[in-house]
Amino acid sequence: MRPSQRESAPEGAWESASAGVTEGVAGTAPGAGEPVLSVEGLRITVGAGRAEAVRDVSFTVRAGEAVGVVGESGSGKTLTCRSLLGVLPPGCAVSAGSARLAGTELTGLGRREWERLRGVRLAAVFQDPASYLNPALTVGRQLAEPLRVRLGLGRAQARARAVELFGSVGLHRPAEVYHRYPHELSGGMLQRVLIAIAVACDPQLLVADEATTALDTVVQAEVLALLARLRRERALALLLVTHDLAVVAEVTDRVLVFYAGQIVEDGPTAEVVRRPAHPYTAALLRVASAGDWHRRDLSVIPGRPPETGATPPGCRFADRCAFAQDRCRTQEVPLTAVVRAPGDAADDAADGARRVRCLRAAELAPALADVRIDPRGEARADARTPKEVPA
Amino acid sequence: MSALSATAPTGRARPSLLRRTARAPLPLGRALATAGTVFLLSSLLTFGLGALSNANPAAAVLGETATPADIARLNHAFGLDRPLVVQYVSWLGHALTGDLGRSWFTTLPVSESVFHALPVDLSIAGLALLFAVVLGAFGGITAAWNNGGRWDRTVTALCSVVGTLPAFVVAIGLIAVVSVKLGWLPSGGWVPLGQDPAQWLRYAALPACALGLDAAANVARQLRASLVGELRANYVTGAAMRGLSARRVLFGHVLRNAAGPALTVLGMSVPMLIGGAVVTERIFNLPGIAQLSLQAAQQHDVPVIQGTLLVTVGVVLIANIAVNAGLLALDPAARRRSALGRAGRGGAGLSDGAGVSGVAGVVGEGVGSGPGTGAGAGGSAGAAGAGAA
Repeated sequence: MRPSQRESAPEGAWESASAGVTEGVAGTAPGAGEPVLSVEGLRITVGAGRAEAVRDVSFTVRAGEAVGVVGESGSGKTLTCRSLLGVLPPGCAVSAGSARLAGTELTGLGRREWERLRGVRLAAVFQDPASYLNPALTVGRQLAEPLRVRLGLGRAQARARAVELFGSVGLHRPAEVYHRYPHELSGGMLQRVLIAIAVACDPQLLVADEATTALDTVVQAEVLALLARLRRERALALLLVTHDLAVVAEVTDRVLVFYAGQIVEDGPTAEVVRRPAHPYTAALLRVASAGDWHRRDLSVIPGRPPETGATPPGCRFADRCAFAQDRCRTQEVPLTAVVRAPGDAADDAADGARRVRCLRAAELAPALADVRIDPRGEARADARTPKEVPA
Repeated sequence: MSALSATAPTGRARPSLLRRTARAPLPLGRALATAGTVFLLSSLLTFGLGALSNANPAAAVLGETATPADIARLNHAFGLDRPLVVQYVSWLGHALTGDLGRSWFTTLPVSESVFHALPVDLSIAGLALLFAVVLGAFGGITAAWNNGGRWDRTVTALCSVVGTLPAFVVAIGLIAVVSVKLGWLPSGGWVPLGQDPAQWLRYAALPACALGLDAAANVARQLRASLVGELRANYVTGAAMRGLSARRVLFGHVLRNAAGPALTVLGMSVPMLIGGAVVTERIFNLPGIAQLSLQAAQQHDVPVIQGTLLVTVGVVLIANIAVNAGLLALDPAARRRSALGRAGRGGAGLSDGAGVSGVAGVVGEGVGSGPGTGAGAGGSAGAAGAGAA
């Protein structure tokens, strides 16, 4: 058994990671996948309808495509994802808009309808994997249970399949891991276990909500490589939520930048990273390329985002923006298409579209373009191993 | 690096396995030692009470016309002219071999009378326990499922009311409503379980209900609280994300993790149920231990009082040890959780306190030879035990 496990060891995964990155940066053949998830004008209220935390969010994720969602804490990225999974915290609700998972409307589903979708058509992995596993059951049992309940496998079949899945996510000695309790495994192994559980019933969409945030840098890279590999192998649509642009640059095809409950910029990751069109994206990139994002968060982008539910007229980033003018503060800023640089224009409209929520995007382009991020460069090398994530 | 992550699980598992085997017998051993000490002390107390009472069988049996010579002769026959220490040791020695002496009046063996009376209390306590488990689990689970809803508030309110009512008040209320007003069940009387189970149930239902209601309320309250807390845990979301139904998540994942504190509460209430059965038995006029000891107390029949007390103490202590062993058998889950730094080792300690307080309640009942004082002492001692733990 050991030689075959060696092959799926992280050494191999490293290579597939870089393959994933090249593929991502070069752009997945546009339009290759059918849209798996399309979100239109999604609005989410918090505090039992008193404040709006997500405003008019629209995006699409295609089969086999990895879309990154970045933004600070409280920007609405996690709420957006949770609404797609039907696990919004108490007091939060989708107030408008639609989210369709390959033709199935997700907003307004009942409990039983969610139960039918979860696991089989959409799945999720979260930050702090240990807390998402039942401490009193072996991890193997927790993987075998959905196999038996959802796929109708027999006891022995489910067990064999579980061991196989544990092997496929790069866990060594999967047959032994099967009998381990969560507290007996490390954080990286637990995240692999959660990923194995998430892909067990072959979902169409995988939401990874800060899935690598609490892991140390090396393990983080391994898990990202694993996600990239699974996405390619299974044509999985991947929605990767993080506040770390370096992670997004590493594995995603497209990126959505959230700020104060809105999308402020979206487009192909490679382009956004090379030539950010929104001052906020540029600031995020500067933070990421300056080194450890976790330590420099607020020191690099001065000020703080508006309170949840506050609706200042005009651009919500204006108060923290170095380029803000009076008109930025008076009129609502729409999400508009970006005029693209000649080198980028090859993509077709459907997939390569870039949008930005900034009135001065066109004139600022040269000023913002000098920010660069090298996913494996300084950001990686300089990063400490963040044990805890600031709230 | 990959080698490191591969050895990590076995390297971590080893110490926890060691701890598991090394620590397992300790709580039970401690419980046994506690029980032995309590039994010895209470036997001393029981015997001392008899000796202090100055009751003399010769005077009682022979009446006022007895001559000092007659009394001395009878005292010698009963062995009462020996030193107290010798009397105690021989009494305890005989008691441990099942011989509790003979009644001064009926000259029947005390162990025989106890043997006939004890099943009444034990069967009521057993039925009350069953009642507490079924009703408590039902109330707790449905309330947690309906968290914040109307049913949840109803259950919580009912539990608060029932929790404040002593068993004898509930008993009187039940008699007034169920037997007197509705006439569904008899208000007293007894048919042994071995004789006719259906009739036994008819007679035992009301006493068991009165006795178990308090425990049921405590179990329901505890189960609801831990279920609600547990349902907020991330692993519940995790299980739901696998597409498992809410019912499956509740019964397959959450209940087993939330059951620990409720089981501890239930375990604590077992000695109280046995002590309380003695009180309840009086109200429903059942031929149990309370009737036996009350009658004996009025006649100054010291061997019977001593025997009933000693047996009751023994039964409570045995129940306590059984509860400890049961909690220990359920403990692997708790220990796994404590490895995560969450649960403590509260189970064994809690039921230690309950055992002692339960005994205190029983002793108090016997000494006061009245149901009311016994219930009071047992209740307050129980609360003190729970508080201390």
